[in-house]
Amino acid sequence: MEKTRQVHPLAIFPLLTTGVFLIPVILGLLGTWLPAFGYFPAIGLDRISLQPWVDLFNHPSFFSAVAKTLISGIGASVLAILLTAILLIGTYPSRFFNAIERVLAPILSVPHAAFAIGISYLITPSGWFIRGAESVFGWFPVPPLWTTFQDPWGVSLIITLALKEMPFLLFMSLAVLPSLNTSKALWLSKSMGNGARFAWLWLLLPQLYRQIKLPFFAVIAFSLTVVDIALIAGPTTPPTLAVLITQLFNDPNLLQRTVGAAGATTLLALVMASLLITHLAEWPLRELRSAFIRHGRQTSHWMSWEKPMALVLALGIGLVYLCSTLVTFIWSFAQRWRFPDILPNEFSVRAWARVFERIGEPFWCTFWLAILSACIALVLVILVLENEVRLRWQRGRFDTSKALWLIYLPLLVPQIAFLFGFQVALIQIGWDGQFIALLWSHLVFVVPYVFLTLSGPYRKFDDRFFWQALSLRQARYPAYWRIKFPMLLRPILYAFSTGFAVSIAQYLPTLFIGAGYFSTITTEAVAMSTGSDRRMTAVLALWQQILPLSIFALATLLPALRFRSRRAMQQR
Amino acid sequence: MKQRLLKPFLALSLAVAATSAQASDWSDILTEAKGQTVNFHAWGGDEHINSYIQWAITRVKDDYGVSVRHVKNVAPNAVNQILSEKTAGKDSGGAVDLMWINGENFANMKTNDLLFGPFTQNLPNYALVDTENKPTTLYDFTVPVDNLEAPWGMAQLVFQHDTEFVKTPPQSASELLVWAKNNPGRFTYPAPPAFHGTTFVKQILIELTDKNEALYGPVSAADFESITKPLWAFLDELHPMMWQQGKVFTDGAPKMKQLLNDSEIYISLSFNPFDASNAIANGDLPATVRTHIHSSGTIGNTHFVAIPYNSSNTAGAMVFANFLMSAEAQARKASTEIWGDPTVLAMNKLSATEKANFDNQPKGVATLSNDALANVLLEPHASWVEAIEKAWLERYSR
Repeated sequence: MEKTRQVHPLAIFPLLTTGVFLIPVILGLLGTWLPAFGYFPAIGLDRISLQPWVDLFNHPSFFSAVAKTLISGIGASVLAILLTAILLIGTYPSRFFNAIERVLAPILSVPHAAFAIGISYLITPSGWFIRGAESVFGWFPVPPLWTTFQDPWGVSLIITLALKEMPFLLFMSLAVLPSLNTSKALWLSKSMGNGARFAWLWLLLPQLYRQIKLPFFAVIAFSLTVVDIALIAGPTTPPTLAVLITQLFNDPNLLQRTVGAAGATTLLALVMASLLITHLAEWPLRELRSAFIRHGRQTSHWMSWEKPMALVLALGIGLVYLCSTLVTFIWSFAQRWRFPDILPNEFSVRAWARVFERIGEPFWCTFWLAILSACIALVLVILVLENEVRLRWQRGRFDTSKALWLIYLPLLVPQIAFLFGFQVALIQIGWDGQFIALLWSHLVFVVPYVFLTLSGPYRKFDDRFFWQALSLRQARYPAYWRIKFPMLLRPILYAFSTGFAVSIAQYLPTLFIGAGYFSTITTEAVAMSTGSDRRMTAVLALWQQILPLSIFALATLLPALRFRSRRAMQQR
Repeated sequence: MKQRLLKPFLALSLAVAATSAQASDWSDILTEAKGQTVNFHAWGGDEHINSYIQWAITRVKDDYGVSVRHVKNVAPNAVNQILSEKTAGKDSGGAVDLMWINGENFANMKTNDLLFGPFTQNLPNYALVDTENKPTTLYDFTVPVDNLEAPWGMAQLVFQHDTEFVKTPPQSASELLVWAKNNPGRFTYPAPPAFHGTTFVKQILIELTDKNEALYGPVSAADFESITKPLWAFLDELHPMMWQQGKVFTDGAPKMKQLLNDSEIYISLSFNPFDASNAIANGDLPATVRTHIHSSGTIGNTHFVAIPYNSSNTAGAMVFANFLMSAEAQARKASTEIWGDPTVLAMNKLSATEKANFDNQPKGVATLSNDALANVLLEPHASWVEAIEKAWLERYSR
């Protein structure tokens, strides 16, 4: 009796983790909601009012911006998951898929903004494709008057976002796929006279979806709230809501910040509603799938279009990434490069030399922030998940997803609104501009990603392996270090590298919470991208890519190396 | 009209600056500044400007023992930082010690008491500023500067055209419209509220209304509808003839410079008369680009540095601001090989060698002569900005 009342040491970690992340969230939301309701003493507003909302709804661009946000955000998310499904149905498992897996690391490490800029170098009317057509056919002595990028309907934004998010979903799937027994399901389906599609639709995709649901939700939230890609590839008049909010927060008229805060609150509500609808749509989609399978005897007679389509898609997407990185690389060495030249007419290493002179400090700051936040996040998340395991066996069923959804909040609110309240609180306790506060702010965004990357596979782990190890060795730690963690090595490394990359991508937190005292490669890159110098921007974008690239490469190569002679441990 | 108002104010401020008490104050400031670290928040999107700032930082370290850090941050974010600090009650020891600022931000920071000062009257080099002939050094966006910010450089709206495609550049708004009709898709301007876009719209408004007096008073006192009517009629006609049929806009002049280099557009705009020469030297623009302005003159401006109210290194910030106004720093800045930013100083207040230093600076191939640039239009009253931006969004960004 006495013993059960004692607090298990693991039990504090969910509390600690949510607590540590709840504080910034609450402060952040307060910092958004108070100004949204007209309370902003710093500019003399000390009375609650609905004026910001009136101003927001009367803003000429508001309703159109909301429509564009929903269309592009939902459109991109759906497209991303469809592409992922088609790729899996068409190519998994196969040698071709193994090849995809190998190129995933460089693809994932491409910074968002750099990818969008890279795409613009390819498809704008003065882009590489048109230049190619001009040099071969001579059709375009001057750039054609076409709208191929930043179109008012958001098509280029949807495509850019989907192409950037699809590899993330695929990456998340990779960590889960081994536990799904894909080969057996496919074999079973074939032996019953059905094709791969049948097995995927019936058995595999539903299981997969359940495990990558959180990453998918993150994709939805990201697509709806993204600023940098929307600024580069999105419509302009009006832009998406997230961009509009950023403009309001940057307006010289300080009163507009309250309108921006109301806009940020609206965006949060939009994200929540979209996630709820997505969640509720599972049931009708499930029914639809059942009906499709039940009445779809003819499935086996249909031509299997997924395979050729997946091949074309994979090659197409790979080509887009290759070309956009290549064109960025060439820009980094360009001195003069005009339309319609395919290559620069003058080359120079000046941009590289300039950046090399002063990259040292930002590089190490970036590195330490990323490595520390990824490590801390990983430890916290594993301890939280271990606590779940403990509770599961102590009390039988335990709904693990209930308590921790709060740590996802930072992903749902536009950063520019969210950071204000957090920053104010840090200043009040005198932590502003400290490295520890900066690290904390990175963790606020890194932990959710590590959690959503790791929780699916971790919860799916078959505890019998662990017990067997425990009963054989009679000790906990070897059971963890020799059995459980090695078996989970792949998802753990994936979670780590995702967290690492998320830290590197942080711009506003570094600037706001760091109060300008810290510069990272990303703050340098963003600062440079506000100018017109494409060479410097290209060099910094490539620098920005180096660290995530090495970590993602490690995460994809290490498990393969580690399990060379122990294939079964990989649960493949 | 504005100049007439400026004269008495000017005499007053010069009288203040000339008093001998200032000199001893300055040596106190120098002593206090020694060893301070100044966080200078300034846009970092141009490598030439970054290098120039780096040079100034080295000089101030060597000469005055003041350390300066260039925080590559845009003004709105620096304002957000100061607002957070004010909200948290941190009224000293703020993270921003000095910031590069434009007129709109200045007006709003001044209204909300976010600025330190007045201080420029204490800076020895402020006496060299050409306040007589450059009224925008005293009135930023029509708001009295009141010594709350130190002039750093001059700006003027200029157009850039690629002579490969444009033989005779348009000399007025109406000529621009005709040109756009003959060359559909080859001109654009940034969407307001982006600063360059709003400036272009104001320029057109001034031209089309023949410098209507009402523009220089508060917008509330004017008949906004009827005064701006020709503007909207003009833009309604221009937009379908613009880049992307006016359905897509850029977010600023840097993006337009890229489009000009790509030949997507043939006419671009800038707020720096030296910009084209600078960009040609740098490889950002082809050698065929030249600068032109409209015959009625174009809107001119001054850009400044200001100290936030809660800076704890005000002495260091003042020393740096003073150095940026020195004849040496201003001459270096004027060179198109360094930055190419017009000086705020009066040549007749400089020594012969200092003046020669300016005259010897390369002006660049694509820069207009001083005479061509002499016709500077004043900004409309600051209150017009918001009204124009809102009306623009109503029409073109729904």
